[in-house]
Amino acid sequence: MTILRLPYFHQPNDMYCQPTCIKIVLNYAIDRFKIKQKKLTIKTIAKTIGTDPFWGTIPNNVEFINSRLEKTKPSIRFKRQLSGTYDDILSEITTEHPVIAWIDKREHFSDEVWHVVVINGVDPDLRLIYYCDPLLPEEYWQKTSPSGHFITNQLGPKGYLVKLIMGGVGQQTLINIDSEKIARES
Amino acid sequence: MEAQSVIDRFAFKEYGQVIKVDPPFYNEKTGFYISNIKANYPVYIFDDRTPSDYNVRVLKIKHLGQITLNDKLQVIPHFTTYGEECRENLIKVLDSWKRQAENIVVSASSNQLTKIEDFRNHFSLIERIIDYLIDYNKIHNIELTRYLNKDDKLKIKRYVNLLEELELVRYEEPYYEIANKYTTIESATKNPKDLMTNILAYIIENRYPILRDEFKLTILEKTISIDSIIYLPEMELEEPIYRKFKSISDDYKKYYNKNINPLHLNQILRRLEKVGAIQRDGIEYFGDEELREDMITRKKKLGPLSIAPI
Repeated sequence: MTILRLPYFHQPNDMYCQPTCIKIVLNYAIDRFKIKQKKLTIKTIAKTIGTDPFWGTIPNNVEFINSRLEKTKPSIRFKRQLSGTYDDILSEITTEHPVIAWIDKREHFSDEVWHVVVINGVDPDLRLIYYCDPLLPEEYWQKTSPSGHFITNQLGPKGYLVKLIMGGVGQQTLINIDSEKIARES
Repeated sequence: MEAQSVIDRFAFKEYGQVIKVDPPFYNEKTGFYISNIKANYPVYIFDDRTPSDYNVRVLKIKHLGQITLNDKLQVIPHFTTYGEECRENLIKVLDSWKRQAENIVVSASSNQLTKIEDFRNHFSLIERIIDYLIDYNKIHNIELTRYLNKDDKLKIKRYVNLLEELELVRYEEPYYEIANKYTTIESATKNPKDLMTNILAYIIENRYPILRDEFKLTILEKTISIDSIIYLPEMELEEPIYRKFKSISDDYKKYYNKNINPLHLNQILRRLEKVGAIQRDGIEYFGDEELREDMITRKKKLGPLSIAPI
């Protein structure tokens, strides 16, 4: 079981989940990997990706945050992908990269009401995914979900994963995914 | 490329995370593909008795605009609701949802609200008219405005028109006399001392938006807003939601985008509790069961949330 310890930030309003999650991952990465980068405020991140307090974040704009990260050393950026698998998440967590996820938290999933959380752990034995929900107070923000339910129902085919890509470490992550794919196929 | 994927790509770049688009339909007459824009707007409901999680209810907004493609699958700007306009439409619908909830809360709790002394003070001109009717059954047109200054003349005329609209009075030249609704309320009132309260409750129940918007009785707004904050999530979840002072204060900021003085909030909560508009258990406030049920019934009679079709 791997659980990454993330800095706590509470989202300032109901629609600021995406910028808050970027803030959490960015602060974590700056401290954990000793990255030379100024810590951005949630407000600055929201402004950069155009998050609005009424309708949230435009999906296409998530990667706009990279414009603020051009001078980071080692390099760091965020990459969005449509949906994802348990193995995607596992390989990220194994390399100590939290993953931002657009999920629908409701039990009965049919019409995607997106909320953004940060996946910070996996338990391959119990097939559990651990994630932090910035809508909750610090003492309750750590949540778990059975991985099957999380991938199939909460992330679903239309949710997004936003991965942290870091210099050599980020490439390593992609290599891991490829090697896992090859291993599975063989 | 299919119309569906063109529309999905457009929406992906243009609208916020709460916006959804329906599959396009092809209009053979015009040769256009049209996709309806809607929203699934999350309402997060927090109960202070179960702080470890929250409930999500979804406001289904049926229509916020449309995306139109020509037969070459190009977006037709003139017939398409772009991001900024769509966002404006969303804000309008959310505002009307909030107002709608306030109106339901006021209508259902008018009896309780009129018992709040501070609330009553703002109806002194209406009370003046009703008091006179209680004593004399009619008011001469000249008497109504005699010796009043220009402003008060205008105000009292507007109030008497409002009472006429509500069939509490009718004009039989040269008198304003008690009318059908007044008589009905009077017969249903067991204790004559309650007649004024019951008439005022009827006025508030049926004309709160006009009192607020046209008569500018905005002084009532804070009380109504706090009452609405208690019931708004309860109407969505259809069960009591227990909230502490801080949560109510935070929700006031969230829904009304302004802060409230803690002493004032405390005073409003105590007054609402005193007249039975809300309930209190220890340090937690929640809605009255009977009122909540009434509000839920009223809410179910309303149409879907939507902006007028373009």
